Amino acid sequence: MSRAVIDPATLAGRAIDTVLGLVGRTDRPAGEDDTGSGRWLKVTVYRAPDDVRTAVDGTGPLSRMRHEIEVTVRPAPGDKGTELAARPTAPDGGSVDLRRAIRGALREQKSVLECGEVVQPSRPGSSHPGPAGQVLRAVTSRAWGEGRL
Amino acid sequence: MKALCWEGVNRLAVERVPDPRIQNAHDVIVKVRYTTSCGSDLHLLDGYIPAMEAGDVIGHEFMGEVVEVGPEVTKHSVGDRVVVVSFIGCGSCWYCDNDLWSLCDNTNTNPGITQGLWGQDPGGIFGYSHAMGGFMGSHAEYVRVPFADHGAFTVPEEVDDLTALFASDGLPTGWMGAHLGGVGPGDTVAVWGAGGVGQMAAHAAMLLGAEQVVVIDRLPERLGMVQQHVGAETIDYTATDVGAELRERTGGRGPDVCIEAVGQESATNGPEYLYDKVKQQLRLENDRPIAMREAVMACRKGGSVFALGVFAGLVDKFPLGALMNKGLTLRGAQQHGQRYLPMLLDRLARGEISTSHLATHVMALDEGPRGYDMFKNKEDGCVRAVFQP
Repeated sequence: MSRAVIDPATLAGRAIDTVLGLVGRTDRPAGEDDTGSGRWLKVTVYRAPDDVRTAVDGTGPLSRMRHEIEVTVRPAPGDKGTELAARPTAPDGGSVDLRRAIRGALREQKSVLECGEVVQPSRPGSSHPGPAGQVLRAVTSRAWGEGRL
Repeated sequence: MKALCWEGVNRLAVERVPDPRIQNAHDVIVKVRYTTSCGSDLHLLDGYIPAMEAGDVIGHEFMGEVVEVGPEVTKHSVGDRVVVVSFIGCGSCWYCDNDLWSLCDNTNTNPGITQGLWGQDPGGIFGYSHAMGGFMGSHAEYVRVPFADHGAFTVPEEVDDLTALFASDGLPTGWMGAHLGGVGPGDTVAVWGAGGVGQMAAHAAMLLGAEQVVVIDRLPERLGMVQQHVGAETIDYTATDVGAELRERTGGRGPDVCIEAVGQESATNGPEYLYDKVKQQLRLENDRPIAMREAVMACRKGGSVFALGVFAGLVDKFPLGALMNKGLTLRGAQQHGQRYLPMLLDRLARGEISTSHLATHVMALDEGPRGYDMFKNKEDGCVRAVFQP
């Protein structure tokens, strides 16, 4: 019998997904399964619509998934810039991983458009994070692609 | 390099860690001259901010010298003597453009965590957990400073290093509490907490024209500092009923502006402390809002309460009825230091504000764990333990 070695961070990540599933925390809209359409994921970029449109049509992070998503651009109210929205084109609303990737790409696009780069956390991290730190790393590995925008 | 690291609840150690390097084009590397403990670090130490890894470098209030510059940095050169705002702002998002720098959209590298906690993510901060960006802190020989053109300020020649140090956080935080709390000419202002931030808030209130400023604490050396360096009135909360005292001192009205500069580990003499402490230990509430409750109750009708002390989560027995029925304005923020630093550095250069008296204990970084012990336990009149790497 072979024994699989499970990385603590991977284990913790699975636990997080399980807990989020149990408590109903999901980025899928209510009734999505009934309607078959995914909720738009949006970010407001503090730049003019033309600048945003040009970046999205070019080689920005969303372009890497252009065959799986649809994108809209419209002015944000109150001179707050431009609302950039994306969602999977798949009839089932796309996988959780895809939606997480879209969120991450939207954040990245916003950051690049607003300040020219995506700021990185300090690297390398701690050399001895300990078990609690491994769990935290599982959380932070998802933190860029989770939550509101 | 040497750095003071968080190793677990109430455990700190000086360790060897990799030197920071330029990771983003807008970074600089600062050789730290002075870095200070801050009351909000105690929340990390006491385990109330859980997103820490063993080995994380703490510290967020510092000044030093620029020793390396990223390719997109335009305002700084090697050799600049700088003070760095503890919150990191990109300078380009809507929030930074509207002078709400600590709410920056682009500097928290782990936004999902605080979005889950608070609905939205504020900006990143040095040495203050992975929930706030995962940036290594300043209790080290060197620190990487992202978006340095916006967060690092050249210190005027007239301002010495130790005075400049507190322009990193304590001074702008205090100033912001008074400014955004709405302090104006003729106001009466009460400040809970006579630590560094509370003292700076009181001083700011006076400079903004308040006629009467009262600072509340229990430590005689801190209250003495308030009288000597700020010139404000004081109340020892262990010796009197704060609410009654404030009512009488304000002609029965109550303070126009109440500034809470204590945060989530607030204390009092009464049974309320025991109640909150037990609930906090059992994780039935995150924060002990004792001073905040008192501020809301003491504030005059139609007045303003500002939450300047650091709170992390949920509190119990918050007097929402008083807030609503008295028509109060409640506001809070982490510091928008970039907004105030040019003005504050000018004031420091003119000698209008003193800060260096807060550095009651200056020591080598190697003594960091001892310094935090003294700071946490308020030993030997310690207001701030300051480290020289």
